[in-house]
Amino acid sequence: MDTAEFIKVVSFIGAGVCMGFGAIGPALGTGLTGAEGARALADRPNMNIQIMKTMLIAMAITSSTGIYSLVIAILLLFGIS
Amino acid sequence: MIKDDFAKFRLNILAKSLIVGAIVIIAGLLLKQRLFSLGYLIGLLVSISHFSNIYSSIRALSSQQIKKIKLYLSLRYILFYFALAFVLIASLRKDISMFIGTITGFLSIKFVIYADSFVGKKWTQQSLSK
Repeated sequence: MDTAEFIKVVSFIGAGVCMGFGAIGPALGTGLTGAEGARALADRPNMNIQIMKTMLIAMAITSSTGIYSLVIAILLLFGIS
Repeated sequence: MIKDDFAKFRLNILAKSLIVGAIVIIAGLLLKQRLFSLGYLIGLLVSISHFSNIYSSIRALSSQQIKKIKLYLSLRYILFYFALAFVLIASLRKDISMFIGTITGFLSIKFVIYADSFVGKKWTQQSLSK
């Protein structure tokens, strides 16, 4: 195996690891946000506007780390060549 | 009433991100960075689509009709991720400045949310006061 092939193999493995581990954080964050938001909506239905606004902000923020992982994975996959 | 307030909040964020986007795109065009501006515009559109997906999910969660539209929302999320991957790959193949513009455009709505949350503090003050 020459150097170019080795770099390609390592970059493919790195992209997979990056996307796999990078998806854990946003999945946990979005799931926890949804669960706690649903619980808060059930507990205090009169405060639903504030709860929904907070949920919207939190979900938009937590999902961004998955996008970072996707960007790095695409860079590793297609930027090498 | 509830629907309008939540929709107003979403429109507020979208309007601010569009204003910021217009400023950045015009600045990029003035600096003769056409590909960066194009990438920023595409990234902003994808970001607005993502924000609308989240908005629809929360609206469905609050209206307790999640069973009816679960498939529809799942399809929208899958389509969004495919569209995002396609846009990122196409912009990376085109030019690195377009790729950077796409990422910046995609993350611009997050910067607007951060600014609105920590500088404006409108919604946090409302939520704390009640």
